Amino acid sequence: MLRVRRGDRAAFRELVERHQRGVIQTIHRAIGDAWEAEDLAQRVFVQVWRSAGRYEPTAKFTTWLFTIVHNTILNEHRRRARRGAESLDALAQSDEETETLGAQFADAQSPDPARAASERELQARIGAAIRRLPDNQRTAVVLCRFEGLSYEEIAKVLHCSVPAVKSLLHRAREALKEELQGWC
Amino acid sequence: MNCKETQANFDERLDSRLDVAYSAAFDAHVADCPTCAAQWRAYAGVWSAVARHVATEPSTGFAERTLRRLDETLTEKPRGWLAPLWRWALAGSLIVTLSGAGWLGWQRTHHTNMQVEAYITAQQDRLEDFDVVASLHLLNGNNPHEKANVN
Repeated sequence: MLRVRRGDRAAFRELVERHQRGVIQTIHRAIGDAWEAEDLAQRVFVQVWRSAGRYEPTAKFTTWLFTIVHNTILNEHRRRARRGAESLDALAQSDEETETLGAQFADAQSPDPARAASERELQARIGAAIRRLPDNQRTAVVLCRFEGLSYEEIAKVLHCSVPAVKSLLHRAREALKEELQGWC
Repeated sequence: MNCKETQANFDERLDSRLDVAYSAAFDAHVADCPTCAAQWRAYAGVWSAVARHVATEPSTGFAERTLRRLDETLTEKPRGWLAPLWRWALAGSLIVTLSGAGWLGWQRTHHTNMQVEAYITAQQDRLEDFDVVASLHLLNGNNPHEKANVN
């Protein structure tokens, strides 16, 4: 990142390749659309380049990066709300249906189609349940479960205290337990 | 560890934030308590299920496309402080028009106020004159009500 600060494009490319998966998947879990997730992820990295001068080596880079990711997701949700788009519930529902329907064709080729279908449906339900969480709860869950950030790091991303992160995770887990009752 | 303590530490246990001794006490209680065991199974089960969620993988060439997008962003003509000029001209003309309208309005109001004040002043003068005239007879001792007492 220090090399990126000095305008080193090769370093920037290396940084993108190292973190692209985490960034794209975090955004995908928030908005549900793979293409839009990549578009937003590109914007995140462009922002990283532009803001490189503001990065302080005292802070962990992933904390800084996921702060930009979280803010990008918030902006995207606000943008959709301003456009008078359907509610997030409806979007989550339509994504769930798309995931389920799209997977039906792949299931036919599986050695155990019934099990594969059941797994796909579970995937779709989990994805929709994560997307339906409030923004801060969802970010806490995704960063904790999939990116391995500690409570302290998540607290820096969300600009809150460690007990607040614990509370967010607890509420998110209770909500997910309600939504996925009977599926796990 | 009792049930209340155990259930209060579900998140810490799930996120491996309990020390070795406390984790052992937690596990021992869950093994012995059917209620806590059932609740723990449900809580931990959801978290395991969530971990199975598969998100999209980056498509081939993502890094390349990101660098290209960065180049496009950097080669965009920067918007100067004065661009676009027509917006400044429009804003300026609006300010001048509104200022002029405001000045004319103030002038008209001021003139009207002056006319009203002049009228009120004239009325007050007339009333005072009447008072002066009305009380002159008092100065001359010619009070019509006192005629009987003149001599």
